[in-house]
Amino acid sequence: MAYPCAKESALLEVSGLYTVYPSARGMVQAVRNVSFAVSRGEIVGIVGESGCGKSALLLSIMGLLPSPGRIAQGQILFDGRNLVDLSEPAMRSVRGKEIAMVFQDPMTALNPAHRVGEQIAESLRVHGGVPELAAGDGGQARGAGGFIRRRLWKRGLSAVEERRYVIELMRNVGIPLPEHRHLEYPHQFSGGMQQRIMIAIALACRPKLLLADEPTTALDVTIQAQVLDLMEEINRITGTAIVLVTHDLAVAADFCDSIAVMYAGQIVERGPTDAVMEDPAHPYTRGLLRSMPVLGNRKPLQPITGEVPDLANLGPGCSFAPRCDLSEKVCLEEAPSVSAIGQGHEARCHLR
Amino acid sequence: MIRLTRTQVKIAERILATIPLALGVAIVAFVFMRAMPGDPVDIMMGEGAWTSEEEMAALRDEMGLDEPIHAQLWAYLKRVLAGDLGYSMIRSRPVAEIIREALPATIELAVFSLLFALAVGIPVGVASALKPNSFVDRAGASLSLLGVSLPAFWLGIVGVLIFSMTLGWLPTSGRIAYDAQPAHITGMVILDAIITGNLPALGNALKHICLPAVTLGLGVAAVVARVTRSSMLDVISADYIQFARAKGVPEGEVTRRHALRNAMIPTVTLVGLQFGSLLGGNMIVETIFGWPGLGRVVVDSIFARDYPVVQASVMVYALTFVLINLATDIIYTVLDPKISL
Repeated sequence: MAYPCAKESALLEVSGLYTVYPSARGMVQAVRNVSFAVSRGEIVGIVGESGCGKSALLLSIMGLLPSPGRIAQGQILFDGRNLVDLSEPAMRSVRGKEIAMVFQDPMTALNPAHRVGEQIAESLRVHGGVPELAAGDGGQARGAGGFIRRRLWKRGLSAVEERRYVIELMRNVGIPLPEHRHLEYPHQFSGGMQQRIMIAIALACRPKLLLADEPTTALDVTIQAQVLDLMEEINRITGTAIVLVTHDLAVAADFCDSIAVMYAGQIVERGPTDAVMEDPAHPYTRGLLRSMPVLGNRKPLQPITGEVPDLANLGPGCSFAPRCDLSEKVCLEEAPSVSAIGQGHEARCHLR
Repeated sequence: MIRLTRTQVKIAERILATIPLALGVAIVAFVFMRAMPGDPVDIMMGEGAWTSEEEMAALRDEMGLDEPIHAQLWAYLKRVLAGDLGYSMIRSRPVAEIIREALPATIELAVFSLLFALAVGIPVGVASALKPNSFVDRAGASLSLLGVSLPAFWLGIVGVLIFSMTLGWLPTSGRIAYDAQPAHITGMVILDAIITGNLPALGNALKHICLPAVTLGLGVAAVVARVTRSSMLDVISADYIQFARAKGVPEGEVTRRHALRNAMIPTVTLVGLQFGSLLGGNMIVETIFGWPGLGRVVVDSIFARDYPVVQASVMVYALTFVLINLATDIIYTVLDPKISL
């Protein structure tokens, strides 16, 4: 299941990425010098607290940074192409087709005015039909309704074929009675089912990479595990690589092959999950682990004190230094560079 | 036995519910008209008239005005329930006939004003929301302010001055040239012209309706533009818009299929309310442009204390409001699947 950092088969390779948002207070550096790679079929977790630049990183990859945000520097290599240089139409054919995204809150991310089946089918229509599906009984949609639908929406895909594929997708993500429920609207589904629909939409075109932005945060705890299991199963069966963004280190530890910990727009530590969890090299990672509740442990949790630095106004030193109980003089004066800890395991800390 | 769906039953209920409402409106209109000083006979004969008291009393007797008010009301309600709107005291014609003649002209004008308002207001609102603070947005905001602030009587007269008197492009008043009238089918000359394929009549009628429709619709266009802009701004920052982009949906389709449909709900509310007032509040515009609609009939009838005509017109206004509200509610259910009747 794991594909440890095999550079030659990297599906996504982000290097030296800087994403900035000009604002009245100055340039907000949401993503600073971020480099990481995702191999085919790998699950990578990006962990960090709110406002650390996780979402900005995902939106940079998707080319969907809200104005006035922009990528200032760096490259995003995906399957041999640099996404930063792609034109908008070229990027649009990557979005949803090769790289799909699952949003945090399915309640607000599904369009309330369209039937869920239609929303799943829309991805197919946009990208020209059912992927890798044998052209068998195409064009069998009968009746005026089918005809009109075909005329209006279809590009190389019959309405019947499309519906069958949509129902199959819904069944695959574990929605009961998809034959009926594809005609329902998002508000008729529970939060967990809505998230499954969003995953079905994301998977419709069989993307090579799935970006999941806190896909379980808006769900009940009992449903979280189900959704994660579903994503794991998809990864195993289809080989879709997944980038899971979460603030929950425990989720990442369970689910991911490798983990990158983000703090103040930078990746401060990354490596295979086992290495990071067993031998956390960066004080921030250790802080996150200490602030994680463990069942049966009666000792009080140790939160990380202090606040996240202002990304528009960063000092010269390590951005975690003001909150770090180990910080020394050098930490406040000089930005640390990346140092190797072990096989594929590295951290951005002066003390290593 | 006809089987009805739940929605159809609800619609039928709403329509039936208008009957007691209409009666209530009839009573209110009746009472208010009687509360106004003077009666049709006074107005007809004028002040200090030559007519003798005996002649006036005879006239009142003939019109039934000498009966006690409650008896008059009772008689009136009985007639209304039987479907008889009565007889105009001044025009000596059945009220139903007067309304049947005037209402199509008013509906036609209201519909064209609304079409104008939507055709201008929605695109301006959407364009303003897509590029806030752009030139289009600022220009739209200024014009909207102008559109709501300019009173119809001023706008109408200036329009006539420019387009009719100076440029000579459009007629000053009226609905259609006398010699261009199409065959009478619905009473709405534009619709009749289209049905009969009478192109000269269509052109003539469209020329006549331009100025009054724009005069009446400009204020509505301004409000539609503002409301569409603000609801569109809300919607385009919604997650599902970003999600649609993440699916690879082209920007134009994101706006049309995903944003506009959700943004239209407040606009529909507004349009429902505005359409009611376009139908019922166009007395000034109809007077300026000599438009032979219900608004003018009502104004004339109020001045003449022509009780039956005013009462019937008020009922028509009330019913159109109710029906427009019903139509608005039905459109909601189409736009937002969470809403049902």
